[in-house]
Amino acid sequence: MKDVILKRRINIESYEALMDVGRFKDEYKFLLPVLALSEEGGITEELVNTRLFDVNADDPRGSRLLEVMVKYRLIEKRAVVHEHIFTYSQYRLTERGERIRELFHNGQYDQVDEELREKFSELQILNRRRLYGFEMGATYTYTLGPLGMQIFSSSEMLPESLRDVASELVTLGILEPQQNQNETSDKVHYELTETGRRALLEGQVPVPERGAFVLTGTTDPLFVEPVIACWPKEGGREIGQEFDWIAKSSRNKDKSQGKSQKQEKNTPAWLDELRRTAPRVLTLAAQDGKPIQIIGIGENINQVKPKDSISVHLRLSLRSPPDIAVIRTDGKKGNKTVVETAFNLTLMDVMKCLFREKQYDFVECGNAPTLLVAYDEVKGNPSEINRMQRTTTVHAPEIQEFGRFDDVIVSDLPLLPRTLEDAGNWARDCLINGIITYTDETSYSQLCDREAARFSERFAPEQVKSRLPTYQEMLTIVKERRETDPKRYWFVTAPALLTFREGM
Amino acid sequence: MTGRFTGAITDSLAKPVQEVFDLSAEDLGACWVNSSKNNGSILYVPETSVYRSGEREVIIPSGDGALFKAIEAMVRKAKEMVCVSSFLIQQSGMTDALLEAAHRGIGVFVLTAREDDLKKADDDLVGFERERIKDHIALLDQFAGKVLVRTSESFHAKYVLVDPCSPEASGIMMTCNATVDPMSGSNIEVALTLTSSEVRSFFAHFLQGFWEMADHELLEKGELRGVKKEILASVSLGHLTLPATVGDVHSLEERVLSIIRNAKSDLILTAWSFDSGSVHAAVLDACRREVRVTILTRTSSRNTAALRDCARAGARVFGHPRLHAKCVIADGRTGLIMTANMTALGLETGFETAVPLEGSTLDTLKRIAEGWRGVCDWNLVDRVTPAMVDGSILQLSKDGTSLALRTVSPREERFLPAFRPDSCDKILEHSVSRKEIDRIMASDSQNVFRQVTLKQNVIPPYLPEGSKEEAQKDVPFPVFRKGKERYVVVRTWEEVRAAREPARKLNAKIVVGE
Repeated sequence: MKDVILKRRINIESYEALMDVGRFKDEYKFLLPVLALSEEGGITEELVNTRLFDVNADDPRGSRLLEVMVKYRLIEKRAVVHEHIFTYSQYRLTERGERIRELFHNGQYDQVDEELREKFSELQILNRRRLYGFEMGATYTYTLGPLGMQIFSSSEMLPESLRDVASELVTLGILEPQQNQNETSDKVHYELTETGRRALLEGQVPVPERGAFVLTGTTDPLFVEPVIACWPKEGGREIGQEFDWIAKSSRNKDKSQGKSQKQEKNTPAWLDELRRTAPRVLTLAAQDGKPIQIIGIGENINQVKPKDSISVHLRLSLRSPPDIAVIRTDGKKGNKTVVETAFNLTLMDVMKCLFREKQYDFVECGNAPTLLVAYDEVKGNPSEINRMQRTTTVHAPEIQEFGRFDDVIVSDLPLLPRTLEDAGNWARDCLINGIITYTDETSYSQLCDREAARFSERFAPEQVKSRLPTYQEMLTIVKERRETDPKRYWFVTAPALLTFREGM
Repeated sequence: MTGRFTGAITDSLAKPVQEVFDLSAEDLGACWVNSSKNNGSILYVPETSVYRSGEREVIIPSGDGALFKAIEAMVRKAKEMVCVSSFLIQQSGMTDALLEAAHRGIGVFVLTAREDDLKKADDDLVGFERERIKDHIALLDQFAGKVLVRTSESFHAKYVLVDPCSPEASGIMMTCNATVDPMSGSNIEVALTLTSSEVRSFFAHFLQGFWEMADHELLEKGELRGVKKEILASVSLGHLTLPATVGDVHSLEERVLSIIRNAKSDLILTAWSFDSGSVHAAVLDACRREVRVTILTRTSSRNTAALRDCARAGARVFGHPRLHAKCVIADGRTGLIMTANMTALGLETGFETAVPLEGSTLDTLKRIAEGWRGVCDWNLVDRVTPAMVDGSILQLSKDGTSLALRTVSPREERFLPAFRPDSCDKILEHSVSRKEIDRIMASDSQNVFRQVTLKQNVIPPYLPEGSKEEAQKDVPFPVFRKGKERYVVVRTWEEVRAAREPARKLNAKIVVGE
């Protein structure tokens, strides 16, 4: 069966805003060795000094570089203390909080009480994402959001924003007040942030810029990440690599993240979500899947007309998971990018959607969705009879949860007979069609064996063969069809006649 | 010529001069000499169309349609299959019968030539049969889907077999193609009904042709497709018991040569064409053994070139433009009828069959062959002279590629263009050259002469008007001048002879005065 490619043009919206963006570039690759220490014993001042700077372990250069990298959000500081208690200025984790931290650290989100997960989601401690499945109903996956990471992973001072949720967390028994406690850690080490991990993965370090950018997003359910493009605004001022602004940006973060009620009403959910969860590293589906770090989005956001049109080609194959090609067309030329898709249906699921009326006639045969058909459905179609495949166009197919697509050609859909009687009639047709040269009783028998085995995945060849005409019956058949099919008449009768019979 | 020039010049040239050439002993090379008064293409009219000899019939294709009737009757009785082999085939009562049999559910199989094969057959088709190629192609289209046709350029044998596997097997072999005119007596041909055992051998021959030699087949209209030469395991090709040419089998050639080599006193060979191969050598050997060899064949350049030395060796070679039958008869005791010509194509590489004959059937064939001899008016003679001929000849061209029909005349008189010299002394030296004869013979492709008389008017030169006399002391003749030319004037041949020297000295021409 050939790959099925579902196509459609997707709805997109574009918004421009003053943004802090980290674009992954080569300029700061010199920071990569520091990030790489995370895989070689951990990022510490001592290792930076001794391994990278080749100076004494307590040299101040190590701590200065690491502090800068913390500001770049590539790493975050972890303090290890004797009591093994994460200490904040006024709050610390309770025992329950510690257990949850461990679970989150191990990615065991499902071990946390569902009600608590929902609460964390409401508090934006956890990011919640809905999973779409053909028969799954609504399920969700969770990841630790930036706020959650600060609570459960960071040793930084409790940020102002956390104070808003602190009382909630105290109520939930996650945090407990810690008054006048001033502990110091014996040793400090650093861990990679999401951005740091991505930088290490990409081999490039995000270079922060501030400027007017246009964000393009979609609500199309095929996309894992709704934000699919981020371009500097044409004609807008593009600010180069400025590191200092990050500090300013951090100070003003609460302002940029807070937004007016009015604005929230005018912007789409994906944009609101992005503003809430920034800083985040995104993979841009319409820009060759390249990563970008959205650090912050300004308050003034304007909707603009998208400059490109975007369509998708969702390829469903027997050999590989679904993949989606995003085709961006700017009026003249197209650019195609293959990116991750949220589409998680199997080819069988899709076939059942495309051929909804026949969904109960599909079986899996040799790992491929195969349609069971009656002989009467194929008997007038030599191609389907002989190839046991059907090629057909499905008009405006609709896939549950993923919407409607353009007309699609399904090529070489495997077919099998529904009943043994269908198989017998079908094999008989194939047998007759298979007589393409002179055939005697011996070669006819071999032909019967071949055709009877045609449906062996569904019916025993012996059962099918017993329904095929004998050689003598075939002689009668071709004689009856002589006028309309002279070739086969000769192929069967000539060897029977044109032979020297002993005892003549 | 000089002896006749005496006296007055003008009087002696009043009549044309003439020369007589005797050409009766000229060598005309190899020629077919027609001894009859007709044009040498009288059709053979047999005593009867069908000669019965035991169970067998010898059929002479003739205007009464005896051959058609015999074949059609046989095909109508077919119960299982009909097998036909013929290099060329044309719509006729026979093909109608085949289609009718196919319609009845009888398997009809035909071995023949396709268009390209026919075009390559340079010597195997009777002239007018070439014009039947279009009919042949049209008929194959009619056969498509009803009759299984397979083709090869080798399928030269001509026979019809009916139900060859049954006890009622029957068949006819013939020397003619399955085209209307030859089957109706336009050629000298012969056909023969086959016995059951002969049919079986012919069927084995047919099977080899069908399964092993054919290179194309026509299963459906307009689709002449290549044939895979694979033989199914269950197909048996049988055994050839009669002499044949097929594949690696050359038993026909061996049988023909055996008959020739064993001939003691009398040998008759008939065929459409001969070449200088094995039969030719065997015939020369028979001539050396003083066997009385009679060859009947077509009057063609190819046969002329191939048989001229047989004729020289003593074989009597007779020709007819439409002799197509192929037989060998030796000493009146042994012989055969075959489909092959006496050529390499027929006896070494082709697809041919034969029926050996003896007894009464052979007697019948010999009688028929004598009848053919009666209409073969052309006799091949290697070195013909006009003296030997009193009628027409077919003369082989020098390059051996064509025959020219020429009539021999006892005597011929021709006028040459007038001779007009500028000085009378040139007439004394003039004669009619032999080259003139060669030129005349070359320009006349239709005639050959035993004696040719060439005549020519001689116009002497006269003193131009306006010439003025010139005084010349030492010249005993009047001398004139006009422009730069000087003329010595004479009246008799004696004066011409006397004026030669002075005229030479004066660089003058000798002319007749008024």
